[in-house]
Amino acid sequence: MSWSARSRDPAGPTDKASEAAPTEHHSPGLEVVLETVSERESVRVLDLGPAVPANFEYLSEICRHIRYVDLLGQGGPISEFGEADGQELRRLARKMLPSDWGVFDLVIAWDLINYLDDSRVEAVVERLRALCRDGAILFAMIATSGEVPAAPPKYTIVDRSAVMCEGETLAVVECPRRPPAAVERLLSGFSVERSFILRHRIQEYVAVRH
Amino acid sequence: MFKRGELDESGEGMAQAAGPAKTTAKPASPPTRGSGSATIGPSIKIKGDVTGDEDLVIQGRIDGTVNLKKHNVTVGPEGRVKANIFGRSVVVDGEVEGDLQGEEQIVLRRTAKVQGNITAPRVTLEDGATFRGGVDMQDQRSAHEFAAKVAAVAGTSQDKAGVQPEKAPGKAEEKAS
Repeated sequence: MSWSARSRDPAGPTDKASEAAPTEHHSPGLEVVLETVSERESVRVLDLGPAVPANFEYLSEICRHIRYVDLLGQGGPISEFGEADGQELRRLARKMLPSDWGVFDLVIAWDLINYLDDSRVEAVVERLRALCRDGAILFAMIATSGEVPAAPPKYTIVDRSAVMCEGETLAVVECPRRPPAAVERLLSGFSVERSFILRHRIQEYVAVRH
Repeated sequence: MFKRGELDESGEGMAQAAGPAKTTAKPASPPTRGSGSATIGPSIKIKGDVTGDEDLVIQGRIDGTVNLKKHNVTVGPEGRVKANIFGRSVVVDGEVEGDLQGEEQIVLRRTAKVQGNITAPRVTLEDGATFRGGVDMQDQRSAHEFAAKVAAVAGTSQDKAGVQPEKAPGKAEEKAS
């Protein structure tokens, strides 16, 4: 399986003996996002990660509709991308993020982008733009080191400004090293309003649909 | 009792004929036979619509719809449901492929696997539950309250949707500890 289609529960062998310990880290990007949406009425959230109970509990305090689509989940939508490109990639992206879900005010992408190559990111972002109303916020975490955990970790909201990262393995794989300009280009249709460089080689982005 | 659905080829009976559930799972409101509740046992398969006037525990398989809006529906650990479920309260320990609508609440227990949309005033996801779909928690009352709020602010020029430009200091790259 190529890194560009890696699932959260990879079928291949994982080094269970060296499971990564959960780590809590400050998330100023999430803090900005949650503060902003908590001021809005009837917020609709699209979470591109798994339905984590703690996240659900937290988000349900500030919104009334939450949709979960674990794009990186085992056998999940992203795995359908396979080796597709061009129009086929766009067709699959429309299938995994259909218009009949309505429009959203907040998209939490977590670290999804790290596990996709540029063409896949573009296909997904194109769909996200279609699913977001003007002014909707996109939150994403981008690795700055050029490597990410071999299996996408699970992120749990601890409080308004902190998240817990739980990985299945300490093994890492290479990922595209994307400077801010490249990220801005990939997030077509969104404007990066804030970004935060964190100590653990992650840069958080808060982008707004225009 | 139940509106009769289409039985599977084996012709096994419906809820009345079901043997006692093999599981010890505790439903939301523990059903007691003969006191307004019923169990669809693990060997029972139903294709069709299930309606009724008592609480229901599903340990078998249902393909169709389950409509008990005034009663509690529990999908036990062995339950496999491919149907939309309507109930006063819906608790899932097993697997459901379909939409869940609860008049009061919906609970996905740790062993639950649900793919579909959930609508209820209160929704609980327990650690370990697998869920894919949308959750809508806007009940009738809050919908009315929201409509009233919208009506109250109608006519004002302030747009509260969208990030306020003055709060977004433009592109800023910040170092955080």
